[in-house]
Order: sequence, then structure tokens, then C-alpha cells
Amino acid sequence: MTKMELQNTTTEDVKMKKKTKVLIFISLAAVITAFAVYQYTFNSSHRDIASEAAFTSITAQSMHQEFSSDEASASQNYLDQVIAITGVVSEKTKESLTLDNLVYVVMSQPLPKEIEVGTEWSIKGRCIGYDGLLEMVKIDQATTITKTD
Amino acid sequence: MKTTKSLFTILLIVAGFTSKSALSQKYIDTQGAIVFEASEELFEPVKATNKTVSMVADMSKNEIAALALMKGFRFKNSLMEEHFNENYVESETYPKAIFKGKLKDFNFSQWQESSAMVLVEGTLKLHGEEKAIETPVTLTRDGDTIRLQGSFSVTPADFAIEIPKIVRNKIAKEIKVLLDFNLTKK
Repeated sequence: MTKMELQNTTTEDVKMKKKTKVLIFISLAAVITAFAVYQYTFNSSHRDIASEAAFTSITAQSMHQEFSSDEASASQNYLDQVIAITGVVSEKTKESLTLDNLVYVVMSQPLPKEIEVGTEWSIKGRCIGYDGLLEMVKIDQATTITKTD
Repeated sequence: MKTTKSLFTILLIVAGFTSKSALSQKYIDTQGAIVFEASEELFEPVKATNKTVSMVADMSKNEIAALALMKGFRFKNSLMEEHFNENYVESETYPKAIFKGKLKDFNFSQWQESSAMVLVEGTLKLHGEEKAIETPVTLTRDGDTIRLQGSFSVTPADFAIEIPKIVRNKIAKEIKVLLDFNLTKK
């Protein structure tokens, strides 16, 4: 082997190695993207209501008023939306409360101790519709924002 | 005149008492649970829970009514939940499922045992369709609360819900619905 030939083979080897590296890199990237797309479409996590900003703020009274007068249009406005609602706590259980006996709120965590019947609070949660049996608007996955009185 | 007046007062009081006792036969649950299960073996479980179902039972008339808001059904898989709401039950158009029924051959005022098996007959309305339901439920008494538990089966076709061919073998033909309510005297 001459010195020239030796040099040629090594550059060729280097070229080959580079090609394989690029190939490996591309296929790896493809696999990762495919997995990410799969995860995103089939296993994406649920909405995090607590971290979403409220779409609107409203009192328990006017919310109930809207639902009881025209349920269809109120549903269109509020269903599945994150809403901040203010009202006086009229009843409470371990993880739910009612505001002015008009809005039924299910909390995402057990109710904080500071929430007492008769005090006014503003909560944030997802509106799931109007319960005609209880005649109350229902909110789930709620978190409290502030005491308002 | 005086006697008629006092008689009238007595009548009023009696009427007041009877209406009060009739009212106190009302039992309510605001956070009952419904689970539905339509899983096929080897495939991802198709299961959802709604823990915000309300029920009103008037024991003096043996009447029960329950209401579930469709948006309250939670799935483990968020995509499944989205498909359930948007493509199958169309919860924007039909936001609730309502059951109205009767407890058959049950006499609440003479009920002594701690638990009883009672047949419930009624109609379930969802997705704009009605289906007659007949199922036994267990009533368990604990002080002023009554626990109602039971299950029944329905099919998507009962409520005109079409399952696309592509997922047809991943969703059970018969969907099992489990009920669990804790009714408190109101």
C-alpha cells in the first residue's frame, strides 16, 4: 500500500461513518417525533382547570338567572368554560358548597376550613350545566380564589 | 262562630303537620355516583365516572328521579372524554341524562329491616332518546340516610348513538351502568 492509498481509505472510512451517524440520528429523531405525536393525540393530559384563567366573572344570582330563563343559550355561553363565580356560601360538605342556594360547586380538593356558611366567596371552576332537579347550576373542579366580603 | 273558627285553626294545624310529614319523606343526594363501563378485553378500558349526579326520592310516593350532567363524566383518557362529549353523546346539544321512575311494591313507612331489594321501573332519557329501564336496587338504611345501589345494562343503539366502524370492536356492545347514591332526609 502506498501512502496515497492509505490516505484515501481513511477519508472514505470517515465519510461512511458520517453517513451512518446521520442515518442513525434521522431515524432516532423520527422515532421520537412519532412517539411524541402518539402521546399528544392519545395520551394527552386533562385540562388543568385550576391553572386556566377565568373566561368571565359573574355572581351566582345572575348565572342562575341566565340558566333558568334560557338554558340553551346559557349552555352555549358557559358549558365547559372556566368561570369565576361570587356568592354567599349557603351550604357545605367536605368537598362541595352551594352559593346562594343557586350554584352547586364541587371542589377539586377538600374544602378549606376558612370557608364558612354565610360568608361570601369567589370560586373558579368549570361549568357542567344546569341541574333541573336541584334547580342549581353545577360547577366542578373548582378552586377558591378569594373571600370577597 | 267561635267554635268554627277554632275548628278551622285545628284543621289548619293538622293540615300543616301532615304536609310537613309528607315533605320529610323526601330524600336527596346531590353528589351521587354513576360509573359506566364499556370495556373490551385487551383494549384500553372505556370507563367513566360521574360523581355529581343528583337524585330526589319521594318515599311517600315511591318516586325517584335522577339527573346526570354529561359533562360530569370523567374518563382517564382525555381524548376519550372529548370523543364521548363531541361525537357520541353530543353533550352540547343534549347536556343531561334524566331518569324518572318508581319503586315497585315497596312500603317505606313499614320498612323495618336495615336493607331491602326493590325493583325500580322507569325511563332513562339521554341523547334525545328514551329507554325503559327495569332493575333491582339495594336500599340500605343508616339513620337518616339511605344508600341506593344497583346496576343495569344499555346499548349505544338504545339512545341512537352510532359507534364508528373503526372503534367498534374496542367498545363493548353492552354498556354496564353502576349506581351508588347516598340519600339524606330533607
